[in-house]
Amino acid sequence: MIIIANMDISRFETKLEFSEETRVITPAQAVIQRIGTKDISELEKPHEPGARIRDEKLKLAIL
Amino acid sequence: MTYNDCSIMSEDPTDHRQTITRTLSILENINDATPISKIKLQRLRIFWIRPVRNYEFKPLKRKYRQCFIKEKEIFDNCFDSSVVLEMSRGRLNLHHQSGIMDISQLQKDYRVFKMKAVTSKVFIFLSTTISSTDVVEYSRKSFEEFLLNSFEICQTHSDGFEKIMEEVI
Repeated sequence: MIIIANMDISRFETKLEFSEETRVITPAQAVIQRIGTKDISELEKPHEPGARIRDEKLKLAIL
Repeated sequence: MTYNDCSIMSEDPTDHRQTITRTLSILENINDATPISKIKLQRLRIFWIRPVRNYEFKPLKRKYRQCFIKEKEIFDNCFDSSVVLEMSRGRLNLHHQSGIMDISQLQKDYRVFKMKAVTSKVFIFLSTTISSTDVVEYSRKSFEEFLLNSFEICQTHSDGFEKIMEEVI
């Protein structure tokens, strides 16, 4: 005898295609922050070397 | 930066209304940051998974192929071991794809699916897609109507498919 459990929704996808290409003048990071799909604290982590030093005097000291 | 389309995906949704509300909220945020232009395609795709117990993958796959690919003429086409059906309802198009899936495919394709709670190794999958290609201005209200209406069609189609599966297999 075959036993079948309930059917579950596993994935729910929506898609919109636009009739014109949309140009975004807002910086990409600001758009992602506004959409709120990622943790903002992660996005704010600086990636370039030395960027953690916000104090201008300290920045000059290491140059 | 330019963009032509936007897709939002939820895995393992527990409440479809909540998922629709969250999707609309994300779109509102996108619309605020970068106004959405005219839309040429609206689409809702739902993947359904149904565990099958006491049945091995290969015999069930063979039976499914026998029933839905060789004997039934209602399906338009077959792709690998799944069947495909295209229908129209008013200005909406419905695309059906269904088949048998083993646990390794499921883990690969549905990584968020709660595998620990499932003891079955064989699954029936069903994907239903509702789309509209009318060119329309974006509005939260009209897209909400599209999603609710499309979900109802997907649900009805899924219920009908379940009944067929129970009768055939």
